[in-house]
Amino acid sequence: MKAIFNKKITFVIIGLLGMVLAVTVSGCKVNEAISSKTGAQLWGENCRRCHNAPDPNTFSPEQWKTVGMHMQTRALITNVERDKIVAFLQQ
Amino acid sequence: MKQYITIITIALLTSTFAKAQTKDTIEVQKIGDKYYVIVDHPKVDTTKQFAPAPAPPPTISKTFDSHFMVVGLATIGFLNTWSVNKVNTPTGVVSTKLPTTNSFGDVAHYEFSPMFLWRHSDNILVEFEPSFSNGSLGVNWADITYFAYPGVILRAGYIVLPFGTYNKRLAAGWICKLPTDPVSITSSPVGSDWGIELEGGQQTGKMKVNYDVALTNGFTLSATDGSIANPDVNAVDNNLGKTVTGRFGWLPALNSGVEIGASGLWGKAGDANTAYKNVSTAMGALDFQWVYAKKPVAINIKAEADMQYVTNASYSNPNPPTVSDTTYTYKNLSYGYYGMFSIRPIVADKFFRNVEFAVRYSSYQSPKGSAFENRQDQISAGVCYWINWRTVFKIGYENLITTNPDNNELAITNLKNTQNILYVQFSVQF
Repeated sequence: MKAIFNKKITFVIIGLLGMVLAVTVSGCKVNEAISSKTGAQLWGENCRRCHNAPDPNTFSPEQWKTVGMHMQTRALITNVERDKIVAFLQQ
Repeated sequence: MKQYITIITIALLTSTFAKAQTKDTIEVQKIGDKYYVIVDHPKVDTTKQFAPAPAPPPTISKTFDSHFMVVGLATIGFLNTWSVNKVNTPTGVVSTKLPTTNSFGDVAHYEFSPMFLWRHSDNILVEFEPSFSNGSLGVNWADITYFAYPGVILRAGYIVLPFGTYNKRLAAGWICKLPTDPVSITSSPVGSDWGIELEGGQQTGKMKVNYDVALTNGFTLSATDGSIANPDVNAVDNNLGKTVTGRFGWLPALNSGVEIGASGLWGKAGDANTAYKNVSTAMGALDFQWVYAKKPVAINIKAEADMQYVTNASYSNPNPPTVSDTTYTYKNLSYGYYGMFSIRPIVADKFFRNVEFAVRYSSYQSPKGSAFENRQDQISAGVCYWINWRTVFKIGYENLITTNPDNNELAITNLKNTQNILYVQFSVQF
């Protein structure tokens, strides 16, 4: 019973990792509708997934850069999204 | 006579040297990018040694590699509780009203957590969040993060386990729209642990995906009753096995408004060199969120369902029914879930557009047949007033029913406790 249980869990983990790899590799081609999005658009769409969209005047440009790195580790946004959002907030 | 001549000579020489020291000073000055020697002497016209004053350098907008800042959150509040206990007896239900309590800053509902963020360079971030809550000082996370490649982030330290979305993204008082956390989350052992983590997000056509995998010390098993706990930040791993936790998130909508996630966890929990050394924990979770904002309303739906399984083992019965029957076993399976809905008007009126209404239902069932078996059902409703994007004032009501079953073998008597709680809470991110 325990061996079967362990096998199942191993398959689940391998399956999940396989999905991550497959989707990551296939994701090299980014849709134009996505790549043309502005920082303001991405700010409105991604920040509010968890909380209210932040006021750009809350932090200084240097602080926004640091906050952007922290938030990327939480929301798992892409590097392009992070850079565009931070650039918008720094204005 | 010689003495007088000597004294007068020394005095004259001393005064000459002293005079020379005060008059002939040498000074080096930097003007622009050149150094100038200035001889301040009454016989020298020092103004001739200066070049025309250079124009001040232009202001350059400079960014710095290293940056340190402190943010954080603070939550305080007031709550009023009135409770009733009900016990089924052979003669009927016995109901006991418990004394009403009210308290500022009840131990479970305040938090002061400054977060120290140090951007070491463009690729490295150090995070540390101590927390004063639940009557003690603790650590929420302390880690070093390395942004290796686009979509690949490595982290090491005391990290939040990537299981579900609540602990990592939604638990902060200024984010959560209700004064409390769901019982399915507070009853789960998932928290922070020492280990390493690999995570990232990736655009895939019109969709996005994200992944988060961690290898940590893992949970500890109680040899008394088989319950699972998250180890303390100071604890040393209780066995050689490590725990794998992972979450895969999928954002199918173009505007990232929908996210569906699946999480898994597996690892040994029993102490090494004991009868429980092979006891393992497996957990799974599904999470969902939908965020919608279009005049005249913004809607937010979040849900998460978790299950936890611990492989079978026997535990000592504290109240054995017979002398020979001193151990017992049970199916160590627990599960819980929550669903939250909030709505906020998008209108011109400043007062009404800052108001948000939220309701949530959560339930948690601990393992049936265990010494800690119970069921919790939690209904929460509240109103938020957003003073600004990160400052919120909440008023909430909660009904929490905890039901313990009859279990003659473990000498547990049935009990149904109903708590009604009124919350007033203020939470700020700083």
